[in-house]
Amino acid sequence: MWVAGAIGCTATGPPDKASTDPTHRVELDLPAHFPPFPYPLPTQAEADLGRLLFHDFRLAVDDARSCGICHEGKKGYTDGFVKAVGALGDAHTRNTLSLLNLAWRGPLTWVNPELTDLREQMQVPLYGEHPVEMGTDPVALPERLAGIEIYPPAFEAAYPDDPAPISMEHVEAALMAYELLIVAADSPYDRYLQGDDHALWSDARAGMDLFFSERLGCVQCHGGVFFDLPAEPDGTVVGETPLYVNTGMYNIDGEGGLPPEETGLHAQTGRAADMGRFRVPSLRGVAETGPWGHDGSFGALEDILDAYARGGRLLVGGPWPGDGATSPWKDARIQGFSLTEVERGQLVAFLEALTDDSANERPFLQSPFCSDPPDTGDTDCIEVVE
Amino acid sequence: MRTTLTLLTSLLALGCADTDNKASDDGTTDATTADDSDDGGEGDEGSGDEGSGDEGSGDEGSSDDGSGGGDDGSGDGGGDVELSEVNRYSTAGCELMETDAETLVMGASRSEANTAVIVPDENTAWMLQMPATGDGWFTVEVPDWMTVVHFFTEEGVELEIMGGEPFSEVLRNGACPDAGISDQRWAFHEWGAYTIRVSEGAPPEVWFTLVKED
Repeated sequence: MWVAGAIGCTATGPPDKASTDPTHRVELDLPAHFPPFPYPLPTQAEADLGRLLFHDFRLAVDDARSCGICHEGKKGYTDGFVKAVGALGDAHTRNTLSLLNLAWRGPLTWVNPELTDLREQMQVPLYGEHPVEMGTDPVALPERLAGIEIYPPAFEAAYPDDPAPISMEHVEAALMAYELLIVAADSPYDRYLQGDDHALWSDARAGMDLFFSERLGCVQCHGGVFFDLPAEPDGTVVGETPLYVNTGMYNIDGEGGLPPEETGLHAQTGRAADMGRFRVPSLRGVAETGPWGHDGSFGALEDILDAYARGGRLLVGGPWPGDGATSPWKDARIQGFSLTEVERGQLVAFLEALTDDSANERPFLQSPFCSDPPDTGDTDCIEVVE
Repeated sequence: MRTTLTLLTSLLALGCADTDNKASDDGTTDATTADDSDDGGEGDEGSGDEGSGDEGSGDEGSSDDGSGGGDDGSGDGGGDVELSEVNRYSTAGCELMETDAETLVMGASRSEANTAVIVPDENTAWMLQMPATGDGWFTVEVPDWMTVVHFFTEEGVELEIMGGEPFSEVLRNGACPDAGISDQRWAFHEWGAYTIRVSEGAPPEVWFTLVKED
């Protein structure tokens, strides 16, 4: 029998603790530089149910996907694709965003500033048809779950006051409870902020100095605890919501165009000036979340840095050649800078230091199932049987 | 998925993924003698059984004992080159030659590979356009775990697939041996995006398609 535990978020915090009390609320031990957790903490039972559902392939059409396979811990809670591929093989138009620190995310997608409700957003991958992502059948799924041995007691424990607890509403609620607990707060950079001078190796520390330098200006967009808010070079955050920025990735035909399937905020507003503007993503765990960019067209962190250094990306070949540096819609903050090979390596080292390895290793965040990838190596796992 | 895993494990145990037998560099038109063959030919050639539904008859296991089935090139149209075994995947590769190929301009460097992305769909072939100079680069998204993908392209065109591992030599497609296309099978343990390089010197346009095994 598998028993989940509460999670601890710092290396010195509490380890995963076994809990058999379903009313016990999950405990989070966040470092002082993190903002407070912005949601009521779920009960252990609801989080445990969320863990089952998140990793269960049976939520998808043809049992072809789980949430956890497209948001895989070792890939920074992304899928490793350039652009996502749905359960029926549909090619998507955007790169999968990480779920790390989702609780503090604000706008949840690349292009819609209004979409901040996780339950609402979740319905896109679950039920969306254009394209199909998971292809979940909201009518059939509760009935199916009711027939799987592990689920009736798990739903009853999570929602004890509901006489008919197995419902899509509770599926979504439990998934949300679990996803919000995917917290990464114990990277080398976090430990450095807490006073561990040895947490950052020399290259990473030099890279940090570059990152926060006025010369590079990274924090104009990638500031704050999650590196996704506008800030001054000294780190002072100057905005409460992420920016939507055209970073000069494309310049089709010299008119600032983007590949037509994804034009950014422009697709929402229709305004030409919004062409190519995408949400500034968090950099936490960024070294694990490649490929990068709204369409996954950056295959290496070094390529991104090179594009920023020249003030926009130059594409010589491929379907969409052009010089993003001369795009008329490029953000004024993307001005380019000089960067030596050594400095580039130092910047990458700093970005790598934003990875909290424990966010992938905590047992609570592993799949509880035995057979499906990623292989957890867990010997106390659940066989998939109906 | 579990079935695929079992199949792949079995095939690996049979030595079908022997990297030492990786294809010759020139696209295999001169490939091999019978006694270093462990994958091609068998008795298929000569029978002309394209798409004859012989899957399941050992066509994937290729449990060739090394005899090579006497495939000394005397088969139909094969010359002295090895033919891939005929199964529904190699047949599908031939059938896709009859479709209108979609044009895809390849990236001019590895850093541009992810701007030219292909997702296997079993219905599409591509005409890959080489960049003005140098190698061509593109990315294939493999949407499954523990799977084998057949890559079909023009004989003589060298594909360097970065990631995964070879599951066969580069052979002439036995399902349409006169068509001049190669059949190279590649095993992927993990889904994801895989970069492919087409070496400089390939024709300006290169026909290409791929079929993922079930």
